[in-house]
Amino acid sequence: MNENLPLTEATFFILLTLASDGKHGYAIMQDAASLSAGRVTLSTGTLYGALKRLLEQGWITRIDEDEPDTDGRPRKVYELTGEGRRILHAETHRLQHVVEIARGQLEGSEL
Amino acid sequence: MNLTTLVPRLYCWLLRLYPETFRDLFADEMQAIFAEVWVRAQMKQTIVATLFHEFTTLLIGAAREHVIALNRSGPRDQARAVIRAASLIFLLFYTRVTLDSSDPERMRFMVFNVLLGVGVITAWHWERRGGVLTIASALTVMVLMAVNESSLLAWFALIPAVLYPLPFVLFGWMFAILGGDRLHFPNRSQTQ
Repeated sequence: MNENLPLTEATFFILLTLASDGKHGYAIMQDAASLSAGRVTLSTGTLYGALKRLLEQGWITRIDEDEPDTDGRPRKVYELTGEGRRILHAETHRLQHVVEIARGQLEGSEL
Repeated sequence: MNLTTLVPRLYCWLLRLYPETFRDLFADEMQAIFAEVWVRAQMKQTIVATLFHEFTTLLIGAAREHVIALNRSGPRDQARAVIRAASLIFLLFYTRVTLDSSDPERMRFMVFNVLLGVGVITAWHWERRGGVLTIASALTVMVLMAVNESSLLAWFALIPAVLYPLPFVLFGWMFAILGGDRLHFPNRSQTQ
């Protein structure tokens, strides 16, 4: 059992949004909301607090994009690291296991 | 200035509540993201809900980052945080009590509180000088209160004059010590 698990729902969805490719902060917020069907609505403060912790844990990396934003500020892209991907897989496994147990119990009780 | 421009400015200003290390890393990005969130909220007519969500989580997030930073800091910074918080709490408590009081002399006590407040606020920026100023303010308050007592011979009448500013003498002394280099705080790694 990984000591970092279970993840909070917000952390899980942030990692999940980065599973396919690197993203900016705003794209992470939008994708987390759409993947969770609107259940996880991250505010700017919540998102960056979580991103800071994920960076410190080495689960994501932060990369400067070549093209600056409209105000001339350098844009940052967040990407999943190997460790982050491993954690995401482990959490998905754990959730899958929980769902299997729950299904088994519910089906047994309905017989 | 209208709401459209005022809100992002306010958000930008409130980002100062975060610890400096956090601000250096993320403030620019957060400002840019909030600008996008704000435009979207205006388009979708969800201004109140968005502002409430963004501003409350900003305040909670800033407090949380300060707690994290404090936990990671050395004993000197932790001591500083405790003294700052304690002096501020005492100052607010004194002010609140004075404002609530029906004592005809409450304006005199308000002046004492202002004197003490000047010392404490100065000590937040210049610890050593502010610490000395806080002690001086507290002693001044002590003397002013004692002089005003009807009978100097009744020594027990002087007790409030000593007790009222006494916490600030201690705060000033602690600020002055923190501002100097006389105290040796061992490294946490050495002590563990």
